[in-house]
Amino acid sequence: MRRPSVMSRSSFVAIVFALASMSGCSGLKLPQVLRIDEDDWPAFGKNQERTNATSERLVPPLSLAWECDISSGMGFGSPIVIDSTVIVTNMRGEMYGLNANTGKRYGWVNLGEAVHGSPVIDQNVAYVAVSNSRYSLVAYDLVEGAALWKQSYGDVEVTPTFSNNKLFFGNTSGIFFCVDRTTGLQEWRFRLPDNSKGKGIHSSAAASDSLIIFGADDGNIYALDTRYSTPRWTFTTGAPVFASPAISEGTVFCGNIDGVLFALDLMTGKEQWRFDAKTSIYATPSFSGGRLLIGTVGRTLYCLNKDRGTAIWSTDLNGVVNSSAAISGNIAYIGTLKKELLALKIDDGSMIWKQALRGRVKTTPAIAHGKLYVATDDRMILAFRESSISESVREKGR
Amino acid sequence: MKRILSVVVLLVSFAALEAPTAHAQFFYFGRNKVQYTAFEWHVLRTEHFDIYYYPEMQALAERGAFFAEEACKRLELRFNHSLNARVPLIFYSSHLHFQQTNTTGGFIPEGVGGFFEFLKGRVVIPSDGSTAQFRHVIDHELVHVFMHSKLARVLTDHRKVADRMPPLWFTEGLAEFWSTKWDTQADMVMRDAVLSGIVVGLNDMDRIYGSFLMYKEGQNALQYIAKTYGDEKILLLMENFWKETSFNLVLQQTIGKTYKEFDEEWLYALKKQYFPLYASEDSPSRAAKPIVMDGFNSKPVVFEHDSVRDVYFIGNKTGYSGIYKKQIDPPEQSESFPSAAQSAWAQEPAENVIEGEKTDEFEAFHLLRGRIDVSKEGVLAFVTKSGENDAIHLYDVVRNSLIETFRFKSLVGIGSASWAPDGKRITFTSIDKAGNNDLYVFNTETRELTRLTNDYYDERDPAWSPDGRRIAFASDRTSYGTENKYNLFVYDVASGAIEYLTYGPDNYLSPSWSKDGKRLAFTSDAGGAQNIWLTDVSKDSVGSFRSITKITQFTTAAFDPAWTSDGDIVFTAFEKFSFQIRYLKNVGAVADTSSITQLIDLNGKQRPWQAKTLVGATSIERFKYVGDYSLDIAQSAISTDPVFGTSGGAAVALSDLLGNDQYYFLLYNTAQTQDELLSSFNLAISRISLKQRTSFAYGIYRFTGRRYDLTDKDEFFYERVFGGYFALSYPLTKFQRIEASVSLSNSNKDADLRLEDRKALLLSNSLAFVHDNSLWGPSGPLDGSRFSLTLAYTSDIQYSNVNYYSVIFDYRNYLRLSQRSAFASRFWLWYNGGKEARRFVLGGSWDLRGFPRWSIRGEKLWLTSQELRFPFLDALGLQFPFGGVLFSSIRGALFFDAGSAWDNTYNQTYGSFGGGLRMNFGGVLVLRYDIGKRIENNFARLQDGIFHQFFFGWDF
Repeated sequence: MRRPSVMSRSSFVAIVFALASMSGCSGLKLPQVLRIDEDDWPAFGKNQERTNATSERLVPPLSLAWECDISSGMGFGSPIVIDSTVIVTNMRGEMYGLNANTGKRYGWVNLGEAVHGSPVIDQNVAYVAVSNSRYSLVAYDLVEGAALWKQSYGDVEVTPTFSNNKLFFGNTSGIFFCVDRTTGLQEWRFRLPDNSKGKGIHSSAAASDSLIIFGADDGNIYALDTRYSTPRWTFTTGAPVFASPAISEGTVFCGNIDGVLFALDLMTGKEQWRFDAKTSIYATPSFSGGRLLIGTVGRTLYCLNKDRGTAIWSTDLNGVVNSSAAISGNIAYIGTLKKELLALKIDDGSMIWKQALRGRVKTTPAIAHGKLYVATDDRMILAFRESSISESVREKGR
Repeated sequence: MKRILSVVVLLVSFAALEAPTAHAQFFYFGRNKVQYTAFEWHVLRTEHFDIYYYPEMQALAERGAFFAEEACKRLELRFNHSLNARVPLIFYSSHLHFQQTNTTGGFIPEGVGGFFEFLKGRVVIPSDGSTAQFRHVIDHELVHVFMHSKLARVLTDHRKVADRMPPLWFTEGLAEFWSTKWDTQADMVMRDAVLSGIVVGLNDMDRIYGSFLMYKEGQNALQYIAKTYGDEKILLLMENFWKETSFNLVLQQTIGKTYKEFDEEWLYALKKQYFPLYASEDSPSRAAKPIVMDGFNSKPVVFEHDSVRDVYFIGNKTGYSGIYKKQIDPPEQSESFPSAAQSAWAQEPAENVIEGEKTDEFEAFHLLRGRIDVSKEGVLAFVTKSGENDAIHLYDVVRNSLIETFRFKSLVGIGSASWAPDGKRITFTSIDKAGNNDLYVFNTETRELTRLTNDYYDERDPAWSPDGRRIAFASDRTSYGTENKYNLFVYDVASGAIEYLTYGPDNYLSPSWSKDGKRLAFTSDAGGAQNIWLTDVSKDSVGSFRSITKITQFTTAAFDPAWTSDGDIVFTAFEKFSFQIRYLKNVGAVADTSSITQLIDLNGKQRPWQAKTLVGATSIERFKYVGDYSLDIAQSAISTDPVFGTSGGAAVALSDLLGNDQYYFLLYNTAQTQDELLSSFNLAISRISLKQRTSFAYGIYRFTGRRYDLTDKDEFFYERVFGGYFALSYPLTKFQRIEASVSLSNSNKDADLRLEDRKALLLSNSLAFVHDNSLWGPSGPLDGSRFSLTLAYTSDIQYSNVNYYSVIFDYRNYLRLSQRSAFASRFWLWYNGGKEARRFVLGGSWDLRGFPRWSIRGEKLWLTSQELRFPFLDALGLQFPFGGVLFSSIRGALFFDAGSAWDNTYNQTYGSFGGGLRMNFGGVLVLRYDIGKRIENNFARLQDGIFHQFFFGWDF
């Protein structure tokens, strides 16, 4: 008869230690499939046109609902909120899934060295561009909790754009790619012309009507047909374009680092107007009715007439602006590098609420399901809700 | 030994009080940073800055505040980054005040215009009288602040350790590139570097590490990158900094080129830019006769007597600045080969008339600022730092004797001096405590000082006309002054009126009257490089055009012209990164045939610039500074060894923002068993005050643990000691000081089985005089001397177990033989006498070479060392397939040592001789290797074989 084995004390300790170690290992697997509705913020800039506006009403004053430490700073991409799940990526190459109501982590996964933009999420798969890593584009199934494919396309520091079932993005060597979302394989590529000076692409593309629009460090804005690599039109702005364009009602809006904001016809690239904001523009415009809001490095937020490009008002935000305003009705929420989150009335630019934060804000806030989500450079994701609801949950970091 | 712990505490205190150039492994030498001035610090608080200033310079501080806030806004745009912590800016109204700062422990050389230090994030900036330059330095240092913050952010965001910085060429190059335009001074340096073949690429920047050339090459490289690859690449270099640990690879990531590839392209572009200059311009060496070429030489002036023309100038050849003299013409003229004779004569060394920087009287010369002048009677007027402020010295060049020195209480720094033709009055510029640099006249007979200008415009280079009616000078008092441009003016001595001589966006400096007073020579960068121009001042130019004629057309630069009586001009030329004295013959004829003239329109003069401040524009706070303390270092350590066991603890250092008040805390435990824990705590608390001229330190301590007595073989013991100490240091001058200390400690010593336990209440007193004016080379002193005499007395005032006195005499002299070699001598006499007198140790690479370290012990000790120091190998490079390494400045030594140590009976004299090599690593560590023979048996025989000793440490 075999005697039952008795675990020695040392073996027990070893097993406990192993289990404890494994509990710290990464893994991101969402508990349910994601169902998108109109109150989500499912993409960088809310949609592929990057309009940064939601129909949902969120009225200040806001109070902190929860905060979560995601262990590293975020780039310029905004949090993605789909179906009570917040997906964020950070500059340590990690992707986190958080419960949008409580801030509790579902898990996290390391995809590479750094992620500068936002993921693109479609049918529970997150497509993430990774910088300075062996693989620069990763497709990760959020429900299965596993990578579907990984491909190398150089150093990518933008948010991919999803259009017509394809992914579009540029890399820092000045090559723009169209990639099949199922396999990750290249369908076509476009090289910046005459690029002996190593100009890259730091602008995340916007998509509309089978056109894909992006800016480049060579100072041009390019419009490519999603099916082909040859440009439909090219517009020269005169200075590098780091900002991502936005598309609204057949017009492309994009600023350059000389501080000039351009409005171009979507189909022809013809200039409709330009506005000199005097200092560098890194942000994408936001839209509210016939108005456009754009922030600059010179601390100024401008409100322009979208059709004519004339200034309606401007206001000094007392801090460098790198990100877009998130629009909710008549309110614009915007963060600055002065560690402040501000709410302004779009009518007249008056500030109606201000929240001091512990870190700088470089990312555009996301508004979804009654909350505003913002990332700060002290590694935190903060969720705010209207102050009439007084609930607060805190999640500590690892 | 029994007092070694308390001595250690005292040593720590003295080290902090000690002048920071103490390179030697023995702490008690070094020069002194003398706190001459009692600053009453105030704080001006603006939106982003806390500005520390003293009341005399309030107006300057407010101007600085305006510049700082403007720079902050501008740099936010450049860096796309905000500073989220307030930045402390510490302003001084002059460089002499700046040199007294305790924000850094080291001495501040004349050429340092300001700095940003990382420990407390302080920016420390002096004014030199020029508002535009003050602004430039503020901008420059704030670029450092922003860059530091930006890179820390980039690294932290990517979860990288934020402890690395880009290479110095990038850091300083960026600070220059983003704070100032490419000006003629920068161009002068680059032109010279390229045309002389001394320019290096990014791959070889370590060869010019820390030099002004590196600053300018860095600026130029970034300018080239911006122009060729795009402005955005500069910011991307910082944004990409996290991607690679090698900046070479960061560059490759950003512009697609490594250092090597970039260098090929950039250096070629520089050659293309500068070599064509030879089509129309010449090097100074091709176009002007040499007088002095080696070393650093500037500010020449001519004195003629008995058909001999002597040029006097400020020079530095040995490491000490001073006044030098050289005949313009070779003593033996060669009719056949006049050029060869002149060249050969230029190689002859100049005579050092006044050696500076060894005594308090001539503490420092201002090499790049401040001309000298000699009267018709042969009285040389020159300026040096002398104590707290600058002083004007009068020196009879005929009798070779110092006549008199003038010091002015209200004047801090003094610039150029110029004699009136009567030989009684001197005009000069001077910075007062408010930081204003104005024009003065001093009557050497009546001692009357008259201030001629009194404003915030910067006056320079006054020159009295031969007829005594006018003083020409340079000033930034035009609308171009905000761009750091100087124009020439004339001050009418009788009426006090100031008239324009020049007006324009170029620089006009260093006016010099011809002996007949009809012409004025000056330096101008009109046309792109600094050259010498002439203008006819015998004609009235008020309300009309002034014609100026260029008489030198150099590829690099010429400045500071000085006339001879027969119409030659002596001047400073810049070539091959050296400042030489050269001359042009018959300048009048040169001017008459020169085709390069300009007409200056004096009609369109605009109002001079007006100073701007923040006052009234934004809310600011002002309050008196009472002390702003923060943590400097917090460090913990654990150590273990087979003899003493394990100890662990922590040390914390705090200081105030101005570095005047420092606190040190030390706590550790040496328990070997649990029951020893409480009794084995060691604690020391010290306070050091550097605010006043007399620095002092005091503290308390408790030390307990096992010790090993170095001075006695195999004596281990356990000692508990607690007590307190007080020490002070009073600097008599920069080179000499008096130190005193007293300590009281209760010592309880449990010795091993062979010795008895000992209790004592020890009162120790010491008094020391220290002198040090040595000049250091790569491995140790090469010139000057050092001397220390210490008297100490220790007694047990409770149990009478201890009672001894100490005399420590240490004298070292360095006889300079050539630029890089010296003969060094040392003599020690260390004497302890009395009950339980401590022993000294001798032997090893630092003293009696050839003998095992600390192998010779005694209560009395003497030692003499004689050593010849010389350069051995200038560079030794090893190139491997994967890279190379370069060892530079390997020095040699030939030595002879003799000495002994004894208690009561003198046994024998020990000696050794031999040779050695020394190599300096990074300015911090010197490795030394000696071989030789011991002289044994009381100098009766030589050792069999030879000894080898390999160790570290500076030469004595």
